[in-house]
Amino acid sequence: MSYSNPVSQFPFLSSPELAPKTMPSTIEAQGSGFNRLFAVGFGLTLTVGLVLGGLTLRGMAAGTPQDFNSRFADALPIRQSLIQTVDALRYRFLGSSDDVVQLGRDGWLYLTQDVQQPVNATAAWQTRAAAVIRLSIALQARGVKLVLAVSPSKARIYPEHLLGTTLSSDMQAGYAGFTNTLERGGVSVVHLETALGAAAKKQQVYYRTDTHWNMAGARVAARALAQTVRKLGIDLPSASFKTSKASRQERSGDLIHLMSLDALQSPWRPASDIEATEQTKSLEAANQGLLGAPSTEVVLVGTSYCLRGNFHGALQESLGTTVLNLAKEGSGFERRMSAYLNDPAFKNTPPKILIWEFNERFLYQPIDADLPNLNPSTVAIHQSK
Amino acid sequence: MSFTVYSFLLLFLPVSLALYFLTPARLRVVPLLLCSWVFYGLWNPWFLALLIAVTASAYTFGRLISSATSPSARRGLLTVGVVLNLAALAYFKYAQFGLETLNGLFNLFQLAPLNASLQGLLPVGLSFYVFNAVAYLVDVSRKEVTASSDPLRFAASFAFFASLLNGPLLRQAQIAPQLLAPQVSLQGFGTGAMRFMVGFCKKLLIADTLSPLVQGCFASSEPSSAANVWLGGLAYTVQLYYDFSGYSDMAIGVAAMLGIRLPENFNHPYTALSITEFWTRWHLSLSSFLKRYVYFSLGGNRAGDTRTYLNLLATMLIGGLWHGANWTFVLWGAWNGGFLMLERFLKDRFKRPAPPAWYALPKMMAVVILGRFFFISSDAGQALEKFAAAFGLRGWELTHNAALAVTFERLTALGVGLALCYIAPQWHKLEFRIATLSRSLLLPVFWLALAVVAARSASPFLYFRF
Repeated sequence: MSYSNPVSQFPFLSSPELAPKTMPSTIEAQGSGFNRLFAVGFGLTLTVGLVLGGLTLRGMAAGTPQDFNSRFADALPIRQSLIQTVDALRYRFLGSSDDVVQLGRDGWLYLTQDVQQPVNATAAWQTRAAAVIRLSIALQARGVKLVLAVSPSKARIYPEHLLGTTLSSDMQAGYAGFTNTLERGGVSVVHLETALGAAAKKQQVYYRTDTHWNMAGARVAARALAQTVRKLGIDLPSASFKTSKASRQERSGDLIHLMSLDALQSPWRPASDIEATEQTKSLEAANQGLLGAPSTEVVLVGTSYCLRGNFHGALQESLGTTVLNLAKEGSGFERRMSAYLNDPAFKNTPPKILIWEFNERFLYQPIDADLPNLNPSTVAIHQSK
Repeated sequence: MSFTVYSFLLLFLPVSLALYFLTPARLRVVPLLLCSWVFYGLWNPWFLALLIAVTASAYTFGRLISSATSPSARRGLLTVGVVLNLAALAYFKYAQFGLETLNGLFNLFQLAPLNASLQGLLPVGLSFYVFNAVAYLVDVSRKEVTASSDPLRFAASFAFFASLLNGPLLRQAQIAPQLLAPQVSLQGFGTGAMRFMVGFCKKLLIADTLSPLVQGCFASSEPSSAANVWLGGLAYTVQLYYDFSGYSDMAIGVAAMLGIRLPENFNHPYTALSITEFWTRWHLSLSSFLKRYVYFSLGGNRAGDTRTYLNLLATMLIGGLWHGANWTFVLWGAWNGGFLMLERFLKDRFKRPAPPAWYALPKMMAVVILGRFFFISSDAGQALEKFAAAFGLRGWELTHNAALAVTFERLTALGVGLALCYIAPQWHKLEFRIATLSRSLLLPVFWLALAVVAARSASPFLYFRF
């Protein structure tokens, strides 16, 4: 398989010296003083490495030989510092971030998942919509009114800060498609996209460096939600609330955390948001239930969005009634709802209104992951008892 | 264990080097063998058992073939030895592929498929050390090497951790004699360290940086397009070279530190001006193996033109199948074999001068990139879909997720990677000051690459799956 190389035609590419020899070897020293430098530098690196390796071995968790490499890497004492250094250099000099975060214009950050084209997104949200309608009917039969609030992704509300990308076509249509389907199925839906989209023209409603809505956004979302709940015409015990505001301070968002840059300062990471935190407290304990426990007339199940920006407080204040907040970080589409439906609290004292919040990104995820847990028969079984 | 994990860099390598250098020269084969077995056993202890079995089989049959008195006995023993070794490869690598192919045929003739699964773990590096064993037995039977009578040295040369997983493919004659008296020196250690660091940076800073770009361009979540497959194909072509040649550099570097010379595996393949030349520059140890043990065994070019063409094709088909148990690799072999035949035919028939480089180089790269579509696809249909996309039948623009994967960092890695492909052959012609500056930067860049290991999820070498 030899071939004469027309070296003369393009000497830059194929120099005769580098034409294939019979197994050339490059081990021969090139007579450079650098070899000694490399020997010493590399040797010192290995020596320091060995000391680090020894320290790492002492702190290693037990496991199998197969996972030795990952356990060793996890136990490396300087691992976090190395990650931070590399990520800071990437951000500062290459304008890059970890794959889970997208850098936008003007210091805006986005979750990559929120702008990626999902697989079979339409089929996923349609299946979920059908499941929610079935659940809503089952709850209605038990005298519980379901109110759905799909928190829109930041990329939907602020597409203008995206850099070199847009919301994917399936996602563009997904939010309205899902909420319209639910409304046709008789489910009460809060149009948070409309409310937040309109508010975003006047004020910032999402954090720049976080996936969540900020204080202003949470207030807008809470008011829109309260408006939908009031339209149901259900009598609820009244309560008074007072909101206090703290002084303005820096807030480093979860997207900066995902970039492993929390401990650094600008310009080695995007600048933090500035905010004055708000806190809403009840002025009386009159509407509390037996033994001082909160009333369960209105229950909120949802994701981290219900735990940010004083959303819960703003919702209670807007509704003028106490809301039991059962939201939990990392709840996905249905985990919190499923847990609540299977809880004795729901079985014994079901609420009049059940508010279900989740982020729109969960609409498009593969359906086999979570839907089996969202079984309307759970509600029906409770009803029969 | 891989060269780019911390347990290798901070523990295995320094401990192995220390043990090796602290042992008297004539006994160094002992720590070398033990370290190599630990290195391999950490993947999976059962893999180590298989390696030891293949080693024992090769050693025993080598001795038997050597002591056989008649040519027929030698041939018979060679056949049994080769079949035994290939049986291990057939079982672990090709059994499921054979079963699926058989069931496909049954399906074609509307027969009931076989209800069985032979899907098992493929021991990493199996294709490499089985080929080493086969080469050894053939060499002994041809009396080109003397059968080893030193089981310790034989096992150490066979399991040598530097080249065990991804080559270069070694012939016993190339390595075993060196283990008698390795040429250890500070100069050699420095050269080896430099080579290791270069390979490490190639893998971590270029190949692994390009990986998300390749994945984004070939993602199955959306239909492909011309821009997707050409950008992804180019990125994959650069990634594969820096990944595999990076590994080879590290293997050659580690060996050099230990005073052992390994053969080169690459010779600036993307500067080739034809596919024929490309195969004299890419994966040299495999090309050499295929030429020596397959092409020549089939008769090479001594039996007329037609037979020569068929031998070329057959050699490349076997080379393709060596890479993996999938029809895509067979097609990849056919693609390359077809171009080798075509180029030979055109050269023999028309005897025209070679085309100019401005035409030949992009043409060669295009053929290589298109050939990679077989390499990266999981089935033939997927590969053909990429061909359709490449010629504009699925649209031209980058799709949504592919565009997301295009970042300044990855385009920089692609540009630097491509530029180095063409600058590296001219290294010795560089201005002294530029060369000095480049060498001065190697250690800091290596330290940066060491830190990058922490920030990235483990990224195995692409050739580990072969």
